[in-house]
Amino acid sequence: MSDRTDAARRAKALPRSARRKGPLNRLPPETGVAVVLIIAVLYLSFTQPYFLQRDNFRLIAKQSAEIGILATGMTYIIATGGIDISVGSVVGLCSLVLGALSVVLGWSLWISIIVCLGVGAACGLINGLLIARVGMPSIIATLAMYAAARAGALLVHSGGHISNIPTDLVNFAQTDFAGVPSVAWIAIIVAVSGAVILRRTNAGRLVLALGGNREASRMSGVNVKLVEMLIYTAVGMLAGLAAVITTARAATAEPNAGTTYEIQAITAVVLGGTPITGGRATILGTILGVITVTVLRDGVALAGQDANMQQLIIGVALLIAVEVERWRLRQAAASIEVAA
Amino acid sequence: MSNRTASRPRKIFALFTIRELPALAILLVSIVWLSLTRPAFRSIDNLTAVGQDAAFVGILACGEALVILTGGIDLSVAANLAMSGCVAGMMMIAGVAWPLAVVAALAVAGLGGLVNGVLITYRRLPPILVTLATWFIFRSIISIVTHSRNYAPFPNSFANLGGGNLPFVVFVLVVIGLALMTLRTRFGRRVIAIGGSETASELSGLPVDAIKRRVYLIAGLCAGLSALLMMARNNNVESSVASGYELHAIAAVVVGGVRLSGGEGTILGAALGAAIYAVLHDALILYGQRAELYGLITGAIILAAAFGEVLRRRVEESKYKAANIAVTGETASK
Repeated sequence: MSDRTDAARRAKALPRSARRKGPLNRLPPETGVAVVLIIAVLYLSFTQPYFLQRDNFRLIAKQSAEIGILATGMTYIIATGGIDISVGSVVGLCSLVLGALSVVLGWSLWISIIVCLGVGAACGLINGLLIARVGMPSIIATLAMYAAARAGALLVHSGGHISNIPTDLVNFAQTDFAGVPSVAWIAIIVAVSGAVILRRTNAGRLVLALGGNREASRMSGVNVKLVEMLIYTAVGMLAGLAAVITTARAATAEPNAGTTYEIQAITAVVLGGTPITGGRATILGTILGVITVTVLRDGVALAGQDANMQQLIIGVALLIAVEVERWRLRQAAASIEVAA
Repeated sequence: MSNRTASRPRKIFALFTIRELPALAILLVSIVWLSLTRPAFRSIDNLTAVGQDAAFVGILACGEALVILTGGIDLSVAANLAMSGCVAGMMMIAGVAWPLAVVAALAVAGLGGLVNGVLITYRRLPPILVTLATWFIFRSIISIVTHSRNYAPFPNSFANLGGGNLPFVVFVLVVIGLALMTLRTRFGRRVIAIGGSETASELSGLPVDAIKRRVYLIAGLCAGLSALLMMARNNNVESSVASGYELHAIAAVVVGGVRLSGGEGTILGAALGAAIYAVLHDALILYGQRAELYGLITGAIILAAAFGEVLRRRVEESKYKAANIAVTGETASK
């Protein structure tokens, strides 16, 4: 609070011309992540010759797929002012459901995939019911799901991981369409439709209104509970979709699939410039955030470091992202006060 | 006359407003159920192990409860536990006298907590994102430094501390200390005041930021203490120790009736929540189930506690409304 007024005072101390022109005041929310991404790409292209190879770009596209799908959904949840920390566990559960149905029970692949999506949607619906109907804080409800879904995966198939995933699915993960890996296309479709719905439709505006002022939306006749429930259900289904891709890429279904996905997705969303307080959102920023996280992980791997270093980098990136976002909001607040 | 008949159900409802009651009920029911169905539960060895488990999670949960009372959250406590434990482990294996290693571990843990506190207060970043980041940072730094090595065995004089009932005694002391602090000291009242309304506290002139920093520092120190006891019991330590314990600690706090948005709840509740964790964890083992299935129980008890909270809120709201009707003669417009 005092920060904002301080910034406003400082902005007011500037000469009038500088205040009016100040380009920093009108930066789009994606600026921070774009800068980080450009610096990371430039640094890696100079230091790691392999980074610019076509194969490496394909790898980055493939690795971004699951997180891209989850982060698109997470953007919606954060836009409503909530958070979902259960997506990674739901990916693990859905992955084992897919494996158990298609391999152990020998169901046809398509039906297994549909059931897998359905299980994801059911998990999301439970989250949504608890949050919207019962009125629990989103972090508590999804914390419970985070714990329960991971343990539920062990109930589905107690023997741990399942290999011999149907070759159709495994091969699909290796195919390309128009020079881009097929799994990346799925993520692109999800992200683009997510962006269009959020920006161009009534439903999207409802989501943003809900996050901006829940009480006002309810009084204007928005069925707040229904919207919230639908969002959590859709995100659960997206977790099921991410599970299909994870299973296809790894060619095994395992209960530990999707560990830390929730953190990567949240990092990507916050990195992309969507404020954690809700009411505003940018899918473009989220996608840039996803690519940044993957590029950083890829860079760490190319530099010959292990997964621990990747975690460290993601943690630091998250902190930087939060700090940049706070700085940008202060600038924006200052420019509003100057204008007024 | 009519007043007297109406007061009886109201008294029953009043029970719901005791925040620790659901936790106490779950704990008692599960202890009675286990001691009746599984005689092994009653053996001294088993009870000692349950007490140790309760201590490791409980000490973490007490620190976490303070943080949650201020309206914050600390997801990094288990990572902090691993970090400080590994520092002490490295020092002991390198031949440093163990009391010195203990002091170093507590210093590292306190520093970790202070880093959270400084980022949250000085930079005004949201606690959930800061501690999510430091969770990753602490865990990965210590994995890189130790190369995920396992440090064992420790000097006997240190390892002996972890056997027997010492962890549980330390746990009880921590609970008593922190409970007295929240109930009887100025600092404790201020912690709860901040959780009730941060703006009001700030406007009344409380040093909100300094108090928050101290609370995260205490949560860090609790993590360090828990790390030392856990190391002594297991007689080894590695960077992946206690993964998932942040979840158990937060679950214990929530189950113990501490409101997640802060301002209401007690340390005793968090301690009861941790005891539930230890007892139900033991139940899984006694029934021959795999420990990984504990997630289902965690999920279920978090939900049970959250339902209790919703119920309690409804009861309190209706009481408030009834009081309002009595005073003004009409329903408060919503």
